[in-house]
Amino acid sequence: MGDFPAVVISGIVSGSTYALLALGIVIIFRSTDTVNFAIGDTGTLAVFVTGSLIAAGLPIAAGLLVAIVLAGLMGVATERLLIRPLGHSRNVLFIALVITIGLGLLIHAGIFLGWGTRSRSFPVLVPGSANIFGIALAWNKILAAVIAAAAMGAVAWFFTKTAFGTAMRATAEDPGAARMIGIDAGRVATIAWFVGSGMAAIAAFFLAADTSLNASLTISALFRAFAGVFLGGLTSMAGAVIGGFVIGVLDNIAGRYISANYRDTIVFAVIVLVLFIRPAGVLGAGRKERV
Amino acid sequence: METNLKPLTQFFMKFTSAGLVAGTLALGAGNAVAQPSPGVTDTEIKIGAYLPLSGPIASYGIPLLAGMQAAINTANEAGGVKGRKFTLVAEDNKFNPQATVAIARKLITRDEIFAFVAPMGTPSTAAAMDYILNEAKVPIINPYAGMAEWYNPPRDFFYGAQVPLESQAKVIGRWAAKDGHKKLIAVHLTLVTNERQANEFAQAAKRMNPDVAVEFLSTKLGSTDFGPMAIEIASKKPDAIAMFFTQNETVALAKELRLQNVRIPIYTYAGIVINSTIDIAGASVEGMKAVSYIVPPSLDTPAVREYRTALAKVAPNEKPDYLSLNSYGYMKIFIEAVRRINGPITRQTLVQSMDNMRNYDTGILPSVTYSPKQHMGTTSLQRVQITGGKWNILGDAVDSEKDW
Amino acid sequence: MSRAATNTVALRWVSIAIAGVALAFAVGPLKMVGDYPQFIIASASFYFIAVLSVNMLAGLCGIWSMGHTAYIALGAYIAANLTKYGVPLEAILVAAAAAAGILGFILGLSAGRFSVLYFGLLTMALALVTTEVVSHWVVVTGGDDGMKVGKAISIFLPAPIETKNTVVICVLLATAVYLIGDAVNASQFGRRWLAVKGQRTAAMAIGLKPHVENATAFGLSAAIASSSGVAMAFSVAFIDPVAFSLDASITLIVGTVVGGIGSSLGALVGSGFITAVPELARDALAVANFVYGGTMVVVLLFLRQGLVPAFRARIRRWRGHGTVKAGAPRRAVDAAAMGALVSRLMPPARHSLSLKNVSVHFSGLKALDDVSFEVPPGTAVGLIGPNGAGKTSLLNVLSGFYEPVSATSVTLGDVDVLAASPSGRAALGMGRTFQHAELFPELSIRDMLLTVAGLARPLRRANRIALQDPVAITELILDGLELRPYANSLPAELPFGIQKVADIGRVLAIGASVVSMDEPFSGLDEHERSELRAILRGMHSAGVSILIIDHAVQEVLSLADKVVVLDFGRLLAYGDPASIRRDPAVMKAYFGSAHQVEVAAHG
Repeated sequence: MGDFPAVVISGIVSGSTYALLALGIVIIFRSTDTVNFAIGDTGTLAVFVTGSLIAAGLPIAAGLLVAIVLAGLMGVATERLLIRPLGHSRNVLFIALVITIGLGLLIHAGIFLGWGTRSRSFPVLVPGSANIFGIALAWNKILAAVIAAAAMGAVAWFFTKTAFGTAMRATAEDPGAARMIGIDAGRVATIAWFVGSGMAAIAAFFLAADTSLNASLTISALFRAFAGVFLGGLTSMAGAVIGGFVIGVLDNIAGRYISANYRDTIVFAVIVLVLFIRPAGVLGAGRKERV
Repeated sequence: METNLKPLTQFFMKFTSAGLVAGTLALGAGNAVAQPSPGVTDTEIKIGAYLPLSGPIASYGIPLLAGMQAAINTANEAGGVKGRKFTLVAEDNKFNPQATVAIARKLITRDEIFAFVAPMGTPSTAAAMDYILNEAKVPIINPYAGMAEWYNPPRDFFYGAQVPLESQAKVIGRWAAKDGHKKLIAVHLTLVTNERQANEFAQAAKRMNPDVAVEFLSTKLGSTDFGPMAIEIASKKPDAIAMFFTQNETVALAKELRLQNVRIPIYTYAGIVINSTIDIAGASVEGMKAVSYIVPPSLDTPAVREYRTALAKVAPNEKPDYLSLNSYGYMKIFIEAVRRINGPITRQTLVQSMDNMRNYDTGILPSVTYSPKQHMGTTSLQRVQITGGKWNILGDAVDSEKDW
Repeated sequence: MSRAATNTVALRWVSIAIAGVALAFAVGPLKMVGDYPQFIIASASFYFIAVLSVNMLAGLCGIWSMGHTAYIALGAYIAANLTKYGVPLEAILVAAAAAAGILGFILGLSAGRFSVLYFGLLTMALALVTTEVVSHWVVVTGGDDGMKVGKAISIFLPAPIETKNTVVICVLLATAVYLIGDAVNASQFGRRWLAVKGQRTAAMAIGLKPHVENATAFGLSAAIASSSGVAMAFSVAFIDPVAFSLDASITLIVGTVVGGIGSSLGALVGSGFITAVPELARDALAVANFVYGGTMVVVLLFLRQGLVPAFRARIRRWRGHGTVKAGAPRRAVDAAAMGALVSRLMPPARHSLSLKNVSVHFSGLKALDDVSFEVPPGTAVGLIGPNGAGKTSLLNVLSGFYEPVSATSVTLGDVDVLAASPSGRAALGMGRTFQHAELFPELSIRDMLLTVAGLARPLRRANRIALQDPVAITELILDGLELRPYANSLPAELPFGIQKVADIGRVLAIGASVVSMDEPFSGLDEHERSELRAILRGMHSAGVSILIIDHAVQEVLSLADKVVVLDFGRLLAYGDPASIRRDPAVMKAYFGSAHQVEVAAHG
């Protein structure tokens, strides 16, 4: 057995970040058919602003809320200004993806202009560490996992138990029918992008404390989130979350038992394999048409 | 497809290609003539450098640039050298070897720099050296980089003041063995330089004490998550660990080891001897041992005070630290070499001046000596250790080429 | 194409070739520019080749590869390794193109399984895996440290090529690739790929295999991309994995989007953009990112297709190629001429088309339930029934778009139709027209007919049709169906009726002998209807088997020898038109009662 349980626990804790991002990606995709490549960068920018506010005296816990709101607003603006005008033509899914790539570049430019190119440190919400199964985990990381779980639970509750959440799921299934029974697609999109971007902010907030705050903060996590998304199926929220955790554990196992060098390789290979073998994802509906 | 746009497109094509040819001719007309001493005019000496100014290694490049600029400003404010002021053209290579080659070409052909002074990056310099030194015949003076093979045999136009990375590793290996550690782990980046460092470390340790056993672990440049590696190290229970990373990975692994309660001595090399290492890693690096190229930036001597003043003027946001002090010293050596030139300032006379430099003391580095057969200015290193949250000098200086 | 048009094209290509060679000599041996502009031109050249490879695939196939850097890397590392053994440049280019072409072909085979979005993501993931492989395979690639590239050796030159002079290779390659791009655009290949891109099912109906077309295009595109890598390797003389990273892929996408897909010129503009920006920004990261991101966003929001296509579309409109009104005066329908046209192009059917016990289910819904009937050679069979009866489903089974959940057999003579893929049905002599015309959006009417006529050569040869030349056949159809005023128009610019006529022209160009027609009369005005009647009669007297669905029941009943009536997927009646008219079950199904049919038929 050795340190296997430790590796798995550590993987689950890291995986909570990937699961959060994955959930954000899927929420946005299901409601507006857009794969938002800039979701990580949105969170990063929000955390940069928050970091400056914290340095100016804002309490760290309040900073988390500020980051969520900032990212949410940025997401809403993105949807309204960049995605909605694209309309509903044939290739709009791909075009939307490309435009979010462009947005990512713009956000990077903004970060360099505003905060320069050097990494900066970011404070932890809770210092210290706890000992679990023989390994030590930073309290901040544990808190991140707990908050991530709470956020995902809240989202699940929202989508299944509230009227508007159900309406949003309906819109995702069939936008035309949803419009016909009076659901406002615009409001659905706005809320989805707010929530999805907010998730990314939470992920970025704790990632920054874990490593350091810089423009490339979320890239590595984003790839793992995408791997989780494809594993679980681009249209399944539960699948994305589970996928994110699975990737976290896989990543850690690869790092511990194969080599630290091969972690990225394995994550990308997983993406390729899943896309080739079962593009609808392990948990997604086995659809006949081209996904 | 469409057949009706041909005439228009044809015109456009001809216009474009004619324009292209004309444009490039115009662009290039002036540059086609080579000058006898590029980069040197009656009033100016233009030097160049490639540094990582963005990306993870910007934490090195930005302070290094500040130090260079500070040294240049000090010289310029004193009237320059031989009536000429220095201009520095620095470009961001993102610590990438291929980009460095492209930048080198640009600095040489577009900006026509006189020489490269204190550029940064061992893999970067390795990639561009052939072109710079052999094809373009432009000097490289004192890079923040160093591999042993660059000096054995000495290369034309290439001079350094930084003890090569492998030599540092030898010192550290010997040190670890002398301290009585037997079971060692050497962690390193997968880059060739760092891999060689780890090997030299192991060999030197074993030479000192044949009972020493060294295990190697490696990871990619840019890794941020050291959880699994820390767990692996914990399970192996070594006596001590040597790290051959950049500052980012060193700090990340040190913090993770502390988290996992792995309290073992850490040895590393001069690239980590920076005050910001302690700022970022805090208690995780308490007790870390390393070797340093230079004196501490807090030293109260005229030379270091001059540095601190100049730095504050050129980059008020930069705290005095080892990196900027380092490049300040390297630049000082170059400026002194120019000052000692007899006659016209050319790349040849620069090189001759370097070859004649004996025991020049910057007050920052150990005194440097160059000669036609010795293009490495010094082999001396100072052992240091982090105690009480500061880098402190430990014992005497060591000669990295000897068995100390 | 007319002689004049061919000459213009040739002239253009020659002038591009001359300009390219002139530039190559100017910057190379003649040393008319300094070292730095040489470097910039070399960079612009290999960027151009790379952008063109992505551009061509996106423009002609609608496939956006976000991972073409993998093929560029392949070319670069093949060059770096082979040159160590003294392999000449020309052989390296061929080797790299072959390797990349094969890998690209294999990947392209699966492109049809995915939507544009997913395939884009898949290619991106593949590029990331490639970077990882490069990073780990240190022996071959030098890993993250990178590797030096030796000097290129050419079989035409006595000495190795200095790094500075590699700009000549880059410019010459770029010129060649530019011309290849143009040539492919104008060729049968380009048209075939556009057909598959625009209308996959109709493309299959004319005999194209979409996954093979995609694969071929992808293979060609990958081969071109690899030559960009070779050029880059020799030009910079040093390569490492970062040059092929995700950032590099994104830069290529920026170049493709900004310049616009669909032409070599777009690639030129796009690659010029991505070369110029970092130079002008002096590598200041914030500025470069801002310009890339901002330009891409602005272009996608306001100039969706990219700079060059938007410019071209504006010119097209200005020159009067806007939506064509069908106001042109039309001559009276000459039934004899129509008949002559048809018999020249469509051979008589020799076999019976027979369906036995065909059933099609959609998740519990029985679209077709145990349907059997025959279309003897040369007969016209009408297929009628209320909406949802399964008529289109039946046609789709014949075209191969639907697979029956069970069927005893569907045969044409003794050939098992079901055994043929959808792309293989055209070769059996089966043709299809569509309810919504389903023309190829990016092919002009003339180009579409040319493409189909070109594809159907083997069938014509087998049927010993006298007229073989696709150009002649195209011109004949354009004249015969009064399509000449619309020959250079795209389908979106044409009224629906004209589109439907063009759809029929497509079947003529195939030279089919068994034709399924889905609501050919819908959307036609009176003139077009009489045209269509004349064509149908022409087909009938030429001995072509016709299976026709239409809600214009009178037309069907007056043309057909036999009528099949479907209701809720089941065969309700099968007989000659007169008895069908009187069949009470038919009347009930269609109209709810027996009385109205008599009135409708005679009223």
